[in-house]
Amino acid sequence: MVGTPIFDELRDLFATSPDRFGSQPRAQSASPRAARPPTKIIVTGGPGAGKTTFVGSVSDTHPIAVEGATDFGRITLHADLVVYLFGTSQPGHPGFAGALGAVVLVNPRRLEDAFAMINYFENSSDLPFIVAVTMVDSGLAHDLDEVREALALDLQVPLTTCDARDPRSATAVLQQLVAHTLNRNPSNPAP
Amino acid sequence: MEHIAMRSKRIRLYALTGGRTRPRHHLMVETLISVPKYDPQLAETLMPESRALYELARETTSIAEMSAHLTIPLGVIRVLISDLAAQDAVFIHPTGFTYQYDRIILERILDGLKKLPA
Repeated sequence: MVGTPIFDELRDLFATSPDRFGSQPRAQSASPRAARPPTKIIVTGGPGAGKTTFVGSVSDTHPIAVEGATDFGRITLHADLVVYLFGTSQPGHPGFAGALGAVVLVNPRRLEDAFAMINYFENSSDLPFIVAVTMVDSGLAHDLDEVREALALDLQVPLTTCDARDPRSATAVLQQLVAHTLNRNPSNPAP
Repeated sequence: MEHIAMRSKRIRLYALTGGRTRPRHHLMVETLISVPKYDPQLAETLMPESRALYELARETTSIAEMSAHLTIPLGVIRVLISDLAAQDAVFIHPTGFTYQYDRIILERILDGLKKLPA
């Protein structure tokens, strides 16, 4: 990361309160000009867990289906801050590289569909992840403690519920993931 | 009829890349492409598909969005973009293969997500 602290500070200030600078905030569709790599979040889970719905409900644009079974979406937070969403059901998909974290969506009626993905994240990856149980119409069949037990999910891994169709609910899940990544201060920062 | 049109387009795209499927650069779906300095004369010399990519990249665009916009398969986009980059016509923005923990960015993302209009 290049750039001076004062510049970063100004940029942040501008991003959070553009009015102060007497200029209009740039249009939502403005493309990022940032030199840093794009920020990406993985949305994963078994088939029918709600990945496409989730990506669609939080993206600015319609999700783009790429290379068969993956969905690609985008959330523009500021003119220079865009989060890309990458939905796939394949554990260890090459698209995982460089992501800040992953949301594993779990269909409460088919918990077993999530086993492979959770195993992957627990054993083969350092990617921070959280698990979100997608609610069906009747609400949650089990309580979350039971789900945690059934998934043999480590207590360190946040577990929550989500209505993938509801942008507010899906956004809340993304917030939890980012907060989780933020709290996982890496003891071994990547070289 | 439509089927034939699609098929011939596919064949054409394959011919376009000379059958190459491996781009020289590692391009991920979220990799951003831009045009550092637009050159209308260069644009004139490009094949229609490459030209369309070149025009699109005047505003920084991701590989996935290019593919969706132009309905050209990702593999072909990657090859064509690699060729454009080899001529210095486009700039391939760095894509992180390992996530670099960055507290300021994460805080900004969190803040941005909280402020999203529901």
